[in-house]
Amino acid sequence: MATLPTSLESGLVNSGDVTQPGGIGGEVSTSNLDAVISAQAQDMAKQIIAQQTLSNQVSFNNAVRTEALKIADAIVQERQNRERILKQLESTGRIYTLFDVTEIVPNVVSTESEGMFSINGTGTGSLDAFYTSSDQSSTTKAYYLDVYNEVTSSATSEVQFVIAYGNRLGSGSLVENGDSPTKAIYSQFRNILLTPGDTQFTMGDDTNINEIFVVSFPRIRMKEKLDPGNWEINVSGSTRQIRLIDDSDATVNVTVNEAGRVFNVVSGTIANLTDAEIYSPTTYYGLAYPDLGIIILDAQKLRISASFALVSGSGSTDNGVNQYALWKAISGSGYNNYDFLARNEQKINSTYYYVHVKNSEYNYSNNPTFITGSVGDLKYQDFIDDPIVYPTSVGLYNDRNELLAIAKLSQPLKKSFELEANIRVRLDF
Amino acid sequence: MKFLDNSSIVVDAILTKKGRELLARGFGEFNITQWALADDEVDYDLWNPTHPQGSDYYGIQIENMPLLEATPDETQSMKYKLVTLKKKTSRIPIITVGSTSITLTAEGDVARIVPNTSNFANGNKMLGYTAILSDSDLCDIYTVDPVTLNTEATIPRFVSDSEAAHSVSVIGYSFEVRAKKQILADKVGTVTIIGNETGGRVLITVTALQETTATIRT
Repeated sequence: MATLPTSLESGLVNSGDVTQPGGIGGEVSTSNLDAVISAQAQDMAKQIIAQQTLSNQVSFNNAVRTEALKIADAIVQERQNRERILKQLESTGRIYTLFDVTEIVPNVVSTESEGMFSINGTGTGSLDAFYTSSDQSSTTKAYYLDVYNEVTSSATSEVQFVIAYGNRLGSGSLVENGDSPTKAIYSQFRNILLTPGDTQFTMGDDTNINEIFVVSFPRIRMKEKLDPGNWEINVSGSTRQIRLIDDSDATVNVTVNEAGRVFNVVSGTIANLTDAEIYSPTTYYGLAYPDLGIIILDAQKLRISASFALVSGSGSTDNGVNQYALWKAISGSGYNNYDFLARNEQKINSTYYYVHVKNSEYNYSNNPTFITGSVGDLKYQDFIDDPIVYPTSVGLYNDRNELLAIAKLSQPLKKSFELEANIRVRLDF
Repeated sequence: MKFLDNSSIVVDAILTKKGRELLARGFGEFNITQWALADDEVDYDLWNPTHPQGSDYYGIQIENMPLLEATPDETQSMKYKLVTLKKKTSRIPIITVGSTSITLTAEGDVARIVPNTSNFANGNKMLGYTAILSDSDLCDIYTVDPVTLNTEATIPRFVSDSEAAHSVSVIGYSFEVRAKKQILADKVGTVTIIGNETGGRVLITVTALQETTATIRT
């Protein structure tokens, strides 16, 4: 328990409404004196508490430090014991080899891209068939349209991308009980993609885009992101066909907002890049948000350029008509051998483990077919002088001999006293 | 003159169930420190030392065989590990036990398993043996003579649809199994003993008999 400071112990004692000399100085009234004493007492108490807190914190830190050192020592000790034992085993029989520190390279980041779509269950960067499904409910079709690679009765049929139509004013859909799906779509993507307070999409000089098409990719298809510069949508109407890409190849300073990187959607092809190099001025058909896997298209500009019909105004008597219009325009391209092209992209964090199998190591096997009889005789006499084994798997273990990861070789690897092997094992996270 | 081949083999690894479990648990429990090699799929009967085209072709059938993908079940992988032994070795270290068949007649019956390593002096004397009971509904298993090093392994594995039953792993120099009550029928399982240094294994069949009026203990 803390003791009071001397100044308080030898100071004044409250003895009613009288004036008494004391250590505080001068003559003071008892009421003032009480206030002074109270203030001093509070200051002292604060100091004591602060000292105690500091003392407790130091004690706590010391205790934590001591425990941490104990644990660290125990880990080091256990590791050293194990290394000692395994060293001893090196000259005898052993089935495990410790990794050297330099043989483990953690956190290697690499970028991988692959085809966005799937055909017959395998990835491809080109989609030439576009199916919708009668199984999709009319409720969801009012908002978006799932586009499949095959008829949905096929076992390998999967949603490849989604088309939605949004209208800031709610036109283009059947409004029931004040519920407008097209308005909901516009608002939803505006909220996701635009900065707060920005109510309309801007494409080029056009700051008042009220009607949008949304093309978005399921997470499983786009992995981490849409690979910018490596997608191409072909849209055909009754008289024209336009091919759209992003302008990432011509963009030096990428715009990055709340939705990640933003590129303009322009006319062009992956092979020949943007038509902006040929046609001037550039027409901006939309915005591409590769980090979210979303492409926003100016519905009216697309309708006029590719020449297909849209339902707009407030006269719509059906829901989901406009997303069907874009689906038809895209699938028409597919019919004309202009595919929808796209790649996904993801960053992979890997750790590399370098397994160096020396010539003198691991030349015998516990495989039951490696021996004959019940006493462990090698099956072949030749193996006594020159054993040959064929490892097929590399197991990665912890200190408790628990198998945490396994890698298989593509073919059995011949190993003998004359052969060494270097195996690089990659483990992705 | 041709260039020497200094390339290394590059392979992708997958996490096992145990690896995923430890990774999910966090706190640095996922820590790979060592490696081993195995040749589970290889049948050395395919080695043909009488191949008419000579010694280069003795192993041709093995070398050309395609391999299966890795499985995440750690209990089904790396069964037959390669082992480092001195040249001119004529016998592989093998694990033996008194009997490879144990019958437990009633609940509480106990049988001891004392593994031994042949063909290798002091084999598995440091790291001991791992005993894996295939089905915890059959009996309990525990270590009688533990190893000094802290390497207590736990490799749970679900058995069929019963989530209560799983395999149990213990480490030591000798073990005991204690029968559990079998009400419906006789129950059969296995105890696999694996040498932690030499890698050999032996399989013991354990049968716990159904409880009858004659075997009920009060």
